[in-house]
Amino acid sequence: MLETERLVLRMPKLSDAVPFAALFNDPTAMEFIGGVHPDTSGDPEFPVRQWLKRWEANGVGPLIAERREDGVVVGRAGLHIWDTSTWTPTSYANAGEHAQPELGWALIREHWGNGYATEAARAARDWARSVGVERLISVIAPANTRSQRVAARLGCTPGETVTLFDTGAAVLWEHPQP
Amino acid sequence: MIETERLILRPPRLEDVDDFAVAYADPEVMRYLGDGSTATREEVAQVIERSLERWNANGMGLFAMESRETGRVVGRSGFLVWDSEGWTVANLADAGDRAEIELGWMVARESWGRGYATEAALALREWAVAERGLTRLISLIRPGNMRSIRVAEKIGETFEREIVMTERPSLMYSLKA
Repeated sequence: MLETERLVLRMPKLSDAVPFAALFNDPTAMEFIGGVHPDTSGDPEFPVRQWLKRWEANGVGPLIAERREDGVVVGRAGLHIWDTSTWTPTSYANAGEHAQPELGWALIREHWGNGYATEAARAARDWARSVGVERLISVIAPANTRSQRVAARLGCTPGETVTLFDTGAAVLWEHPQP
Repeated sequence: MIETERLILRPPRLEDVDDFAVAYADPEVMRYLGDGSTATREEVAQVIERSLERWNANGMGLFAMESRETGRVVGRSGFLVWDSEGWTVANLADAGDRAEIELGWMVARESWGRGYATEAALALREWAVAERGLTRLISLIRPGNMRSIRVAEKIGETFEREIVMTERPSLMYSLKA
């Protein structure tokens, strides 16, 4: 568990499916991160189980950002693993030497505009460094100006443009070396 | 990207337009698809562009079926979101709880009869469940399209009911994952 000034970052739990439904069904918040999710009301915990599977496979994964003041879940920040030969999300084991960790973040829209993404991502980055991640990138769609601003605040610089497996062009923002 | 025994399944790219154009220009391939008409190269390029927009909006869409042996695109398979009220193609966000997700396929005639459609559809059914949490898939098939009905049955779909799509009847096959 990580603490910042206003947030706690912790492991996902199945009950997070409830607050995150507001994110997954929001076309605006999901615009640059894969689109809204299909209806999983028959299995509402599915997305959280996907996160937990990644944790199990990689020993890292997304962390849930909760407001310290009232325990409200505001979003997520953490690590995803890409296969850089195909730019497909995957696991360390499947990607082998093509594995590249990404620091990613997403906020439920009602919590936008408070600096939570920057605060959560910065803490998640410190944690990523502490678990031995060296090169760290954030993969951001060219039109996603909000996330670009977060990346810039984190001291990232835009680098190579790659073609993601599913959603096309994205810019690799390089995090400063520790 | 998804690999099967003989295929690589990946979202289409504009460079695929020539391979796709062959299939889309073939009346025999198009006979039971959409309104049954063939499409020009320019129209195929638009199909590819639109499908990339759908990927962005829905986190799923069409996949090109690339032969691992030759690197050529032999067809397409993948997911189309329908608004079940009126059966028009939609985005998940707009269709809301009226959304039905179709798993469809199309193979260029020179590659018929090799089981490519079934191979792709089985892999995509698995992907839909494992990666997107889908619990129901449909396939909309024109009456008489026996080749596609066979594929639907091979991947575990059964006939559910008849619907009207683009003013003509279609058979809805479906599966519970």
